[in-house]
Amino acid sequence: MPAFDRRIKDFEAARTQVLGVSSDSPFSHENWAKSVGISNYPLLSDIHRTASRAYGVHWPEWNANVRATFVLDKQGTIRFVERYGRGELPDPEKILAEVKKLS
Amino acid sequence: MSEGKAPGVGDPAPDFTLKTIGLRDVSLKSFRGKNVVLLFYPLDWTPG
Repeated sequence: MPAFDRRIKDFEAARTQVLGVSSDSPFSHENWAKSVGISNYPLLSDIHRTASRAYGVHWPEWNANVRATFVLDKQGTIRFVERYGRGELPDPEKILAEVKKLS
Repeated sequence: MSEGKAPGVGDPAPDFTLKTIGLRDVSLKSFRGKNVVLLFYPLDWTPG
């Protein structure tokens, strides 16, 4: 998501790693990242849908995942979850505010 | 719309190791000690 890529320094200042996850291949990720300008955080390929199933966000009709954001603290505990409907996107400001609540 | 047991707030984040651009492995647990934002999105070339 380019909107997060542009704010990556703010996330880094909050000691936070941003990771993008979809079911696409690394080759697709590379083309998309170059096209839309994502270069400051990794895009991960959940090609076997293991991560999407583990997080309960697998979307069977598309064999992909739904749009959702998970915020994890430094111990690896989930501290915030948000799911999005059609046309909805995560708001970097809102997610940054959630991160800043964590110690 | 989705299937699978969904972990929620207060649950441990399930670990995973996935490949990124350049076929490099990235493990979630390697970021322990930092906060992590996981952005699940449906497919490349979708908005966002």
